[in-house]
Amino acid sequence: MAAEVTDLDRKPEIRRPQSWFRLRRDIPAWGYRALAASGFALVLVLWAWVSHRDFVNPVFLPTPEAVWQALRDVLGDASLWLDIKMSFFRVTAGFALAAVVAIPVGITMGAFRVGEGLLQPLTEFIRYIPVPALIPIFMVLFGIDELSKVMLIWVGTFFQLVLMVADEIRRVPYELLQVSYTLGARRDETIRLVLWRAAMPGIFDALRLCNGWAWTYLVVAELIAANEGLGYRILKFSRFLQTPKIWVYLILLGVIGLSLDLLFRVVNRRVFHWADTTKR
Amino acid sequence: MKLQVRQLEKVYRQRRETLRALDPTSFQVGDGEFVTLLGPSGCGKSTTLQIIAGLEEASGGEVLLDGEQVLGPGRDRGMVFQNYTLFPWLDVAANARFSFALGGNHARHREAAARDDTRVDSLLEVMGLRTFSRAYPRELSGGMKQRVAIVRALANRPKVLLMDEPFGALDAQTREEMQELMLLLHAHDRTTVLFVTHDVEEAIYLSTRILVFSARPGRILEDVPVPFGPGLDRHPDVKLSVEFMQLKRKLIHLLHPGAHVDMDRQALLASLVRQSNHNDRKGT
Repeated sequence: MAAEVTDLDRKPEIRRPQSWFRLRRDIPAWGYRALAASGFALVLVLWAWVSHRDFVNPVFLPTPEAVWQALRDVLGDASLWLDIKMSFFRVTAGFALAAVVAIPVGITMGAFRVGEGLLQPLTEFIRYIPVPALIPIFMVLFGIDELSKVMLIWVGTFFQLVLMVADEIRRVPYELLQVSYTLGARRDETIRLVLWRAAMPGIFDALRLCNGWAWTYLVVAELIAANEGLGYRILKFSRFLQTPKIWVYLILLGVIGLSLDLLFRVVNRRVFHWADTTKR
Repeated sequence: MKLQVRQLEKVYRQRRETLRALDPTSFQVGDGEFVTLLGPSGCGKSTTLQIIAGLEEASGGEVLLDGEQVLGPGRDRGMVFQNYTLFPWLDVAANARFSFALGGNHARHREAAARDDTRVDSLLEVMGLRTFSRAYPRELSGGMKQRVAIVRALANRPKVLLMDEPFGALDAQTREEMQELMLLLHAHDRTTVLFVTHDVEEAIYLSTRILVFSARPGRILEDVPVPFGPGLDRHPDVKLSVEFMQLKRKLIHLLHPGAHVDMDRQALLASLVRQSNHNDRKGT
C-alpha cells in the first residue's frame, strides 16, 4: 500500500515569536552590545546637539570638540598622571583597609548571633552618618595628610561592606553546615572550610560594589587640603571655570571605575567558576 | 544493639502553644540492619533522624550508639540529606574526600590514609562517577549529586548511615536506579542504615525492617519485618510479587486508615457541577 501523504506529514513553516520584549528573556549578544554602544552614542549626540545650540552657556556645557581638545591637552600634562597615581593610592589604601577589617568582622556578625547582636545595630546606626560631615572631625583626629583622606574612604566603605559580608555569610545554606558537622568538622573548621569558602564569590562581589563607592568618596576626601588627585583637580578647575577639563576628568573617573568593575567581574568569573550564578 | 533510641520525644514550645512533634518513642537498630522510618509528612520521622544525628536537641529521652550517649553531631553518624548538599567549590573527588581533611583525621597513619583513598575510588567507581571525578557539582544531575553525597558520607566509615528522604527530589526512574545502588552498597558494606521516606515501595524494597509512624504527634504504630531475602536477592521483579503487594497494602492501610471512605466523591462532584451551572446562568 502506498503511503498516503496526510496533513500531519507536511513540515510546517517554523514561526517563532522572537520578540525582544519578553519579560526577563535573553536577547542576542550582538543586540545587547549594539544597545550598550547606542546608549553612549545617544548621550553623545544629544550632548553635541544641545551644546551647539544657544540653550546653554558654553562655559557650563562645552561642546564635545572642546572637551576632546581639553583631553589632548590634559593627556600631555604631567599632573594628570600624578593625579591618577595619588587618587588610586588613596582609594586602594582606604578600600583595602576596609576589606581587611570588614571581612573578619562581617564573618563574625554573620556566623554568630552574639556577634550580630553586638555589632549589627551599631553598624546600621553609624552607616547613616553622612561621611562629608565627618571631615572636620577627621582633620582634628588624623591631621590633613594622607591619613585623614584614607580614613575617610575607609569610613565610607567599611560599614557598608561589613553588613554585606555578614549577609553573604547568612546566605550560605544551613544544610552545608549540618552536613559538615556530620562529617566530623569542628566549629572552626566549619567556618574556615565551609562558611568562608561558600560565601567567597558573594563577598568578592561585595568588594566590587564597595570599590565603586570608594571612588565616590575620593572626591569628598580630596576636599581636605589636597595638592593633587583627580577630585582635587576637578575642584580646582571649577574655581577657574575650566569646564572642558572638568568634563575630561569626570569621563576619566568613569573610565577608571568601569575598568575596575570589569576587572572584578572577570576575576570573579575565573576564580569562582564553580559558582552556580548567572548574574556574576 | 548498634543504635538504641529510648523514650525520645520532641515538643516545640512557642509562647503559650505547645506542639508535640514526637511522642516518647523507643526502638533499636541492630548491626548491619537497614531500618526505614515510614510515615506521612510531619510525623516526626525526620525530626527523629535529626536528633539521632545530633543536629537537633530532644525534649526528652536519649540516643545510644554502641552504648554511648549521643550528645552532638559527629563523624560516627554520617548523613545524607534530601536537598543537594555537595560543596559547590569542590570537584567530585574532593567532595567525596572532604572528611579526610578534618579534625585529627589528616594525622592518620599513612597506610590507613592510602586504604581510605582507594576505598573512595572504588566507591566512586561503583556509583558510576569515575569519569566525573574532576567535575563540579553544578555540572552534575540530581541523581549524580546524591551518589556523591552517599560516597562522601561512607568515606568516613560511619557506624550508622542516616538518610533523610535522600531520593525524594529525584524523578521516578533515577530513584529506582538509586535504590538498586543502595542494595548493592548495603550488601557490600553491611553499613547499618537508618532511612527515612514516605514512599511505601521504597521502604519495602530497601529495608530489612520498617517502623511505621503515625501522623502528628509521631509515634511508632508498628514494627514490620520485611520478609524478602537480603540485599542482592531482591530483583526489581520482587516489586511485582504477591507478597510485596500484600505488604504494601498492609502499610498503606496503616498509614491512611479509612482514607478511601473519608472522601465522598459523588458529593464533591455534585457540588462542582452545581457551581459551574450557577456560573453559566450568571453568564447569560
